[in-house]
Amino acid sequence: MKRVQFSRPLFPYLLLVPQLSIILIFFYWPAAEAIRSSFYLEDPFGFSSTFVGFDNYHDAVTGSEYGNIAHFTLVFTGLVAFFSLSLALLLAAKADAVIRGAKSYRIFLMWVYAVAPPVAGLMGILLFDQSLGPLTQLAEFFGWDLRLGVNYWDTATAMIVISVWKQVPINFIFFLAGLQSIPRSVREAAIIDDPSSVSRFFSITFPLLAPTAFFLLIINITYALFDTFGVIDIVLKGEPGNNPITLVYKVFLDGFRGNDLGGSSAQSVILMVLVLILTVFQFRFMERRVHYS
Amino acid sequence: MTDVQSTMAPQSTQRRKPIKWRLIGDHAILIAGSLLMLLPVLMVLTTSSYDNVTIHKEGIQFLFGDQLVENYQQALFEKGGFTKTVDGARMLMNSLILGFGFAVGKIVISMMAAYAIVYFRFRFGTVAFWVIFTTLLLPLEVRILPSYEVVQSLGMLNSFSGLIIPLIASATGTFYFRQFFRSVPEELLEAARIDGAGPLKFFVDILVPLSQTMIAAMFIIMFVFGWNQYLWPTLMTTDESMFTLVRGIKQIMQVWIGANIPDYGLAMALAIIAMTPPVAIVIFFQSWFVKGLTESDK
Amino acid sequence: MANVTLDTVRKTYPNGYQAVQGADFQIRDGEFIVLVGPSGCGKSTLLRMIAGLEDITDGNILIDNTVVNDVDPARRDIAMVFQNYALYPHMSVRQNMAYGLKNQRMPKSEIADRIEEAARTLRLEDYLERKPGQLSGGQRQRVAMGRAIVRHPKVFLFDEPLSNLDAKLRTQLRAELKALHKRLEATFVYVTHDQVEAMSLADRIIIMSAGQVEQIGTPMDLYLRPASRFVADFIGSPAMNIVHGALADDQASVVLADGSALRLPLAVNAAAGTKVDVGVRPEHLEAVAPEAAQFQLTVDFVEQLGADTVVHGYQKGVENPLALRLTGIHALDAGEVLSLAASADHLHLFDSVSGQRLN
Repeated sequence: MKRVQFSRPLFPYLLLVPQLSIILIFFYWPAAEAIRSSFYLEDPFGFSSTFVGFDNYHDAVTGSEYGNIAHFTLVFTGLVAFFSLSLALLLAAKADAVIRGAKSYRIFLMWVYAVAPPVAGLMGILLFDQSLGPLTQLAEFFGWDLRLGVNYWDTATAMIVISVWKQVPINFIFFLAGLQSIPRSVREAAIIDDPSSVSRFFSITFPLLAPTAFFLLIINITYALFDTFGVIDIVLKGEPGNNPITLVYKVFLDGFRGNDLGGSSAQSVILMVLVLILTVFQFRFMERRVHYS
Repeated sequence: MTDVQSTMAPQSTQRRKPIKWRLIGDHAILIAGSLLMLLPVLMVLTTSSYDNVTIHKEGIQFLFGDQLVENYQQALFEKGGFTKTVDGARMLMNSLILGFGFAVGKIVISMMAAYAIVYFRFRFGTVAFWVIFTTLLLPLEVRILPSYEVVQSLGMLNSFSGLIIPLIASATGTFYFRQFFRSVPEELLEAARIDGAGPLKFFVDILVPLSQTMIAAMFIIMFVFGWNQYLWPTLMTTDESMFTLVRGIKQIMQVWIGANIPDYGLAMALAIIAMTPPVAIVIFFQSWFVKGLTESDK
Repeated sequence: MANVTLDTVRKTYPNGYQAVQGADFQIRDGEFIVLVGPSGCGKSTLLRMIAGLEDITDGNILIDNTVVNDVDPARRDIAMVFQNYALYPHMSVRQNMAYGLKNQRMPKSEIADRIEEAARTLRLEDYLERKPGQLSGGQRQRVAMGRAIVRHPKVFLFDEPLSNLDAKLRTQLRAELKALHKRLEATFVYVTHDQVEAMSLADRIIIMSAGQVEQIGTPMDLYLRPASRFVADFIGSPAMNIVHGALADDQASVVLADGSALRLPLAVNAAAGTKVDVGVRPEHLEAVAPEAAQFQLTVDFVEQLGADTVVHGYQKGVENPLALRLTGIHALDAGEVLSLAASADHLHLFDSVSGQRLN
């Protein structure tokens, strides 16, 4: 906080009223409601509800699909984070190295940030379309009979490709900024000490980028868990059938299609805990990160 | 010395510049990456200029056809959906309202809150800080169902306030502005106090003008975020006249299912329309946007 | 114009750190006071308390004989120049200077007059419409000064205003500041950690260490009769030579670590056996005949500065290296032994434990 601060009796409260009231009504109330209803069983018509303790959690976790979906979510998150981070790092390192055309490359590589996930999803299903999609034709050329929406892992592949495509730009922006914030003198010292640019990258550049990379890892995990909803919903055309879905999608399905309020809430709470752990982890790390700079 | 130079000179002029293979490799990778980003959208753009039958027969097109104007006209002005009450222009308007309303609302509210937290000493200051910043922990998606019920019970379904305000209930903006305010030199407040500026004057005369770049960057980020919302509008709006473009994508998909020859041209035109405004803003204001994005995470 | 009085002013931070432990002095009307000391000694805190930017824990601050403890900074009739200038980056030079006056609801014509006058004094007429970002360091410094001048304050406060400038500009602005003080005949309170700045600017210097005032006096007072070893060490460059020893029985010599004696031609008010530090400035040592020598300096290396020659060396029985400053150019070889002595009024004797002056 500031060394010198104002001390007025009323003014700061007035400043905080809008933010606090919105947060209380639209954040704390729903969050509390989610926790509460995760312990209740509501009858199908919504007339009454009974306290059932941890039954909803038990039912949700032991449900036949839950294990599969959790497993897929894990694989999906891992692959999306890995590919979008490594692709972005490669491109950022190259964009940082060249001088000619650097500006144009930067624009070409970042603008997709502004494309909405469902729009990316729509483009994806066109490009993966059974009869007219060029990517399906490309797969066929390599002897792969890709069937979007029919084959489980083919659909998963499309989801991952689209999600990675959508996420590369933001990683690229952060990696490039991270690279450019490495002091010139440090790079020059490294050039004198180490003739190999590859080993220089791994011994000097990458450790200095580690804080950025870690920050992005968390961001990418969150993205793959939640923000890919639009991609998945469009690729599935709203009808999952036998296709892969993620945990968040299941919360949505059970809550809004299945009308299983308690089960959906229990799954929400599980996800909340998961995100909470991730974020606390991130905060702890960011605190330590201050010492780097 | 002169001798050495004269014997060296011809040699060095004869020596050719070595071909910088690494530089060529770098450019090759960057060009490939750029194409990877660009091509899908270009294909959709060019294909959106054909009629459905051509697309259905011949697949994705790589050159512009002759249906460009017709398809976009249809996408923008022909009423579609189940109830035939909404056209692309209406959805575009709704998207603009959502993006703009969300960005402005979020900036105003979070600037005020961040100002209180950074520049004032008051009781419950720490409590307020934690109440606000805990919201960073949980994205809307994990509390989507109860949020929907709260908005429903408040009678805010199918309204812009119901669409926008719950999205503002997160502290990202407040967090960014707090970080920025903390980086403003202390002496500026001290100088202003000696110059007789009170809390309101300091905010209006000094802090807001100083935050201009930050506000611009926030506006771009928040506008894009609001514009691109999908799940929340999907739940919140059942009335088709309230649909945003991104929400409308799903409607197209549903009309699509079961159609003999899907409305490819229309769908692609709509996809292009839905991405153009946020993409244009990001490209046009890229330096602000990148600065806001990367400097605020510290 | 006004005097400033500090009456046992203390500052203790909530974490218990005592930044200022009882400052007690009066600054006279029109005086140029420099607060000097190493970083963390409390000098800036003291200045900020006078400005009203920092609450005082205990005691009273009076400006113009009025207690101002609880008066808002804007109403204390002071002006402050900050180390990093603290110019409003989005305002032009003119707007920067006008801002405080506008807040006082001063008529526009008078604001314009005052800005014009200050701009003329500081040679800023051509830059009035520029933003701070378009100015050089020295020009920004002048604008910060201008922002203070237009207020016509009772007291000017300066917080290390020259420390962000390069050496040449610093010397130039030092002269300008001195001239400005003469023209305005105002009370200046100036904080710096640079003893040269303090010596060249001050009417009186207040030297601080660890939250306490060590000595208050004119620059020559501090140079010629430092009240403590801290002051002796802080003022002067190269620093004063310090020799550790114990007062001999005859109280006219000091026994050094190796048992040899250092003659002291002065009266000392301390008991025999007291651990003492003898101080003598490098420029006060003179070459003498070996039998009259107080010091036998073995030359280690020599710094040729042109106008001066500084000889660094050592003496058996003395822990610290010693320095000697000679005027003009002298060629000396390492290993050469010089016989040196200083006159009685250039020898300083301090208590080793308390650091207080004994002669």
